[in-house]
Amino acid sequence: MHEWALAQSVIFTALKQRPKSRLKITIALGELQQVDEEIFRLGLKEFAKLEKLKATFSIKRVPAKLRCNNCNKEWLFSKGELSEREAESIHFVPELAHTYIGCPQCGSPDFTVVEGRGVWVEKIEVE
Amino acid sequence: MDPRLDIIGERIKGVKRLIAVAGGKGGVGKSSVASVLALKLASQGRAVGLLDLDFCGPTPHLILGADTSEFPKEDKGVIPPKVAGIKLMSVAYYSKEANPLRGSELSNSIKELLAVTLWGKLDYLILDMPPGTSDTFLDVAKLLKPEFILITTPSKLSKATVEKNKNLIEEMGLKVVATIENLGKDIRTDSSFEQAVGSTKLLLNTQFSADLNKITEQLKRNLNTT
Ligand SMILES: Nc1ncnc2c1ncn2[C@@H]1O[C@H](COP(=O)(O)OP(=O)(O)OP(=O)(O)O)[C@@H](O)[C@H]1O
Ligand SMILES: [Mg+2]
Ligand SMILES: [Zn+2]
Repeated sequence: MHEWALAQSVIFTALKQRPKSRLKITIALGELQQVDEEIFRLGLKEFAKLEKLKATFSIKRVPAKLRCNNCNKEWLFSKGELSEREAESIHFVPELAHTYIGCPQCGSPDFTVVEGRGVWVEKIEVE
Repeated sequence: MDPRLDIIGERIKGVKRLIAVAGGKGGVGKSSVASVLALKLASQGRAVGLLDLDFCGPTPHLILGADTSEFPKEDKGVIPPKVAGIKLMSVAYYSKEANPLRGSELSNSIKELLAVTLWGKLDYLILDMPPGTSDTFLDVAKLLKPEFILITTPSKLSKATVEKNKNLIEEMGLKVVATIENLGKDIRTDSSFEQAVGSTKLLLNTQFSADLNKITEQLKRNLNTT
């Protein structure tokens, strides 16, 4: 699964930061990418074990806030009317939201993902 | 912290040579050269990947006649599907429509693909670049530090632009392995090329392909193949 690849990247970030101590890693999962949290957690656990990294993970989900560059309308992403294939494409490359979604007010594909895009490491603390 | 930036090195560590096919002007033959070069190297037994980085106008899948109807398979990452022995990664698997992307979004999509694509062991990873020295070029120079093959036409405007590209690349500490004049002295205009597009068999028999012998041999030197 592709969630594993994302989890592995988080472990690599952690290794680079402070490899020696036990870590508490805070991760934001932006809703636009529709990451399967259960598989992602499993990936984190397995890759941490593989890399001999001692860590606990705190995951928070961030709604994807979109703002139209044409009319300034702000709205929250939801899979809503997307086909399964379209949603899955956005899961792989979140920027493809611009291909499949338009502003609910003016229809423009020219919008900014203000927050909630994908996987982001917010904090790495020593426990 | 963006975790993608920390895994990109891991994803390309099995690649011996990274070669970006680039050039300042549009429509000069970058994608054709990148695709046929990948095809020639693969047909000569090399392990080759081709990464299409032109998210707003992807074409290598069309040149090579790749089947993009299904998503690539996954196994703890994305496995680039093979076309005539080439591992091809492209946004075309995920979008059949125009992708209206601003520069920062292009940058984000490139990082995303680089972070999740599992190339494995490769002799060559060839990058098909969009024209110019904007976001994609800057990201590739920074994240992948490839060698460059620059494509121009005999046009004075294209040559002048590519000359500047070369200086820029060298100032960035990167190498230009060749500047190729397409539709001119290095690769001749090939009236059969258009017909061969979409068929890897036909492509390998074109004059266009034969005109790439020199650069193919140049790339094959000094490489212990996997
Ligand atoms: N030597 C050649 N003989 C005949 N046709 C050619 C030759 N080189 C390129 N072409 C044709 O010219 C067109 C543009 O080529 P190509 O798409 O490879 O250029 P490009 O530099 O990748 O363009 P872009 O900047 O849009 O990415 C294509 O239709 C291609 O088939
Ligand atoms: Mg092209
Ligand atoms: Zn709008």
